[in-house]
Amino acid sequence: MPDWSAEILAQLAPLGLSAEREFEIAEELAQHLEQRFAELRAHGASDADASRQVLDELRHGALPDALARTQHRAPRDAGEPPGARSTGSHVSSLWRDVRYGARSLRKAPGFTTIATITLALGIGATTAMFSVLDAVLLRPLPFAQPEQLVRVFATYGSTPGNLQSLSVADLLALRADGRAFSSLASFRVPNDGFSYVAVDQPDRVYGTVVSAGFFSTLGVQPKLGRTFRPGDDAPGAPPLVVLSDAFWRRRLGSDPAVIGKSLDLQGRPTTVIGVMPPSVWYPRGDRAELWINDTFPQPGRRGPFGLAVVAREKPGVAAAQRDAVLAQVAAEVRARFPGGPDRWTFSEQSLAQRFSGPLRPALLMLMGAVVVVLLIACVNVTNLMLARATSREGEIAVRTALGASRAALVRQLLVEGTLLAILGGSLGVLVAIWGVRVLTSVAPDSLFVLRDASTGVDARVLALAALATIGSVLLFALAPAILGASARAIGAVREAVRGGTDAPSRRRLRSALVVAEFALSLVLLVGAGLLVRSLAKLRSVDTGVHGEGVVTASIALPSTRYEGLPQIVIFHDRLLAALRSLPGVESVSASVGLPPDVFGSSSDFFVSSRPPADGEFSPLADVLAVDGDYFSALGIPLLSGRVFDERDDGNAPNRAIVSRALAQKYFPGTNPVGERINVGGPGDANAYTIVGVVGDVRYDGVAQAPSEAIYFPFVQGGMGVTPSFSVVARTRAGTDDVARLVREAVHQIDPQLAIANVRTVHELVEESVAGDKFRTTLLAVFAALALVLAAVGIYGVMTYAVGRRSREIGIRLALGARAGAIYRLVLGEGLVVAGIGIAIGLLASAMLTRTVSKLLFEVSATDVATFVAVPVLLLAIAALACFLPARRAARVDPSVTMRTD
Amino acid sequence: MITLDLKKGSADFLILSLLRDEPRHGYELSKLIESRSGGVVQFQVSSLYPLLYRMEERGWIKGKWIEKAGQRRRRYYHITAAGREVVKEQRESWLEFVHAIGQVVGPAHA
Repeated sequence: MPDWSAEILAQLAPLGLSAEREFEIAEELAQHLEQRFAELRAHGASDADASRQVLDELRHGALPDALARTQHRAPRDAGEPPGARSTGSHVSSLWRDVRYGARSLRKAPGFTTIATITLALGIGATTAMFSVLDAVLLRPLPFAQPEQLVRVFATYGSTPGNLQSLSVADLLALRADGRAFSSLASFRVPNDGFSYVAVDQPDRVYGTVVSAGFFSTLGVQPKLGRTFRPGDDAPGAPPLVVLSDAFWRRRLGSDPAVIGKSLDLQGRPTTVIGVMPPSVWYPRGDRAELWINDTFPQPGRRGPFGLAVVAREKPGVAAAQRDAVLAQVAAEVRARFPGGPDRWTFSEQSLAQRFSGPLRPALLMLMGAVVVVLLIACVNVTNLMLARATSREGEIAVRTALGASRAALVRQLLVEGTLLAILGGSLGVLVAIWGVRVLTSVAPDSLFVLRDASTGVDARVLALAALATIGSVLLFALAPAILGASARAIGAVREAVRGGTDAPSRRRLRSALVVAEFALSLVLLVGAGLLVRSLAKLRSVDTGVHGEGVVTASIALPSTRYEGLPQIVIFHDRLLAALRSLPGVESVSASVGLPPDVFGSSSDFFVSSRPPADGEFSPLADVLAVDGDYFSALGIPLLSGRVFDERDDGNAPNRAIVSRALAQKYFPGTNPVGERINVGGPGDANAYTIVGVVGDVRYDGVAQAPSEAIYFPFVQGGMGVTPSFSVVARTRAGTDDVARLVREAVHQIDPQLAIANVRTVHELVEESVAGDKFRTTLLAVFAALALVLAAVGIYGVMTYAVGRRSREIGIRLALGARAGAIYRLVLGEGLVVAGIGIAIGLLASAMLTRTVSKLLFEVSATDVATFVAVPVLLLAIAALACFLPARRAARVDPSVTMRTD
Repeated sequence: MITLDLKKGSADFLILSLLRDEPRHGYELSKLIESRSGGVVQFQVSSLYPLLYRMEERGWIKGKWIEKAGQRRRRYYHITAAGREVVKEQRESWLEFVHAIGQVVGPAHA
């Protein structure tokens, strides 16, 4: 007897049925043939005759064709049988699933594009953002046991948060005590850096002057040579330098034999003792080029101040215990140097908090935005997959009827979902890589850690974002199998093919998802709107100067060659004379401070006729030594009296000019010209006659109130004179040309001097708001992303709903409804959904924007304009997104939709 | 021998009628049709099963694997409610048809 099953399977092969179905049919038919064979044998046919007869009957009438007709099967080349496979290896059937999946994605280009973009943005943007936040906020500082590191300050009075720098006396006392900290060190950051001369080429380098224990306190090791040792900060110690990796590579060509060599720094030969790895940037960040040893002579008084102190807490010493020790040490310092303020003590703040603290509100807000965008992306993907699932119910039902097993269906849907995930996921990875690159390159200086080579796409975050979005894809890819396969397949075929209306529960679910999207987008948009308004206000702040055509540059005179005031004044005179003679230059000046955020120093002062009572604190003012035509160069208006001129030379009595804010506060209702103020102490030597009042200028940053400022003539050499200063030149010529000419003029006077920070005043203002600009841009980008995703979401849902209801719409049109009514129907439904989302979002925003109020400048956290404009914008976007499907609906041809069955 | 056209139209009806009383498997159905039609109507495997599957797909009949003690499992078809409706309809129209033909050709024993 022949092997009937084999014969039948051979005939079924071209049909490409599922293996399960194939074997079922073979089993059933083989039983039939066996019985037929037995019957023929019973009637006396020979074995061979019976076989031939049965096989004839099997082949007669072309079984495969009959079966194919039965199943309304499309020809094989037009499409792989859905959810089915013929007998073959798993690999080939998987390949077929992949090809079928790719084809079905290609057949729905709109769905595929939107889903891919949503995935790419959801995964990519959120990962990039989180990687950056992680680098700044979450990644531990690159020190040994960073949690033990603190900054130590002096706190005067009882105001918490009043953190002042320490003196040499303070440092030495704390170091000698040793009960609170296992080690501590000081550092100073000269604003203007150091002059550095390599092969007769003067340059400016940035670095830090540190005490001997600096690197050992941080717990970092050099990659070459050594760091500072105890004694390197003793009086008379030779100048030593530790280089940063960047300096060593860029300026010294990674010289492996650099240790022991000498560099010309600040006009002194300085011995290189070590090179740090790239991870060591403290405290200058991107400007950490080198560290020089400080030297501390025995102090004769408690001041001057100006040392930053970093310390490592001693493990096992409780905070209360440490506070007690610090109070004791402060008392010892007071006892040793009497006469100073007596209500102060040492206080500490963790280094991590100190470091990321100011950035924290902005970064946390951005982190929130990341989460929101990720949520929206997931919601969108879910929505898309659900809509697709419903529209595929018919297809799934047909497959089920054709005998596709549920397992095969699930596999097919999973393969399709996976294809989508791979597509969106790989695009997402590209977006993430690109995003991190862009973010790190546009980040402001305060986020310099990002420039650290190790800032890259965070794999954990990528995995998380991918898991969330791709998880939604795969979960909802299976929806058709869950919804469709369990339904009575035949009924569903009929329903689906005829285009019956959608199940209300599913429609409600999708609408709820869109509501959520709109609510989330609104929160982000309101946040972004507030920041944008705040930034606009910041940028339009009147800094008090007319900066057009004004070029500035900073110069630091090394103390080795410019020992005292006379040398500094001579240099000024020569430089300003040279600059004045330049073509196109209208006025020039030198100043220790510049708007919007470079103030020279501050000092206590009082009106000479009203000295403070005992124990009363004198107010503080910004003090600036200025030269030449400072006020005309910057366009600061003279309000009363006169500006400085030749009369105010070194032999003249002390003179000063005050700002309007100071004049109004301390000389209310009177003209202060001719009055005297004491700056820096009592006595005639500290008394200055006010010769003029000028307009207010912001020296403490654009977000701060205009400074109460006192100006002194540089040449009188009193207050505020420092060897580092800025030159200011107002010009009618192009600022680029003037910048070059200023360089040349400086070079002619002193070829060894470097100038730095050549900027226009406009650039200085822009730089000062760079941080605000950065976070505003980031949040705005995220809000735009959310807006796009929400628009896509509502568009998808409305398009889909219109498609499903085309019969209903056709009937309405046939019954005489006008196109306008159809527009109202579709738009109305979409706008109700969007409106609910917007209402919820407004409530949430009102509660959440308080958290960003710290970041806002002159904008209320419940700014009415923003709270009105954003919902209107969102509604407009929603209307636009619904308009396209509405138009499609209004163009429905009733005769076509109703005939279609 | 009945022509193919007639067979095609009536095959569903024949099968449904045979399944009205009890579930039967394919071979049984083909034998019953052959014997009851006196050998005039014959179903071969290659045409019977596609027909069964199509009827199943339409929801008129339902196949079910049944195992009996000591036997291999066999696929038995039973009629569904929808199938009973179809039989009823077809039976009526069939009787009408037969009656109409009878009117034309006259009584057989006239």
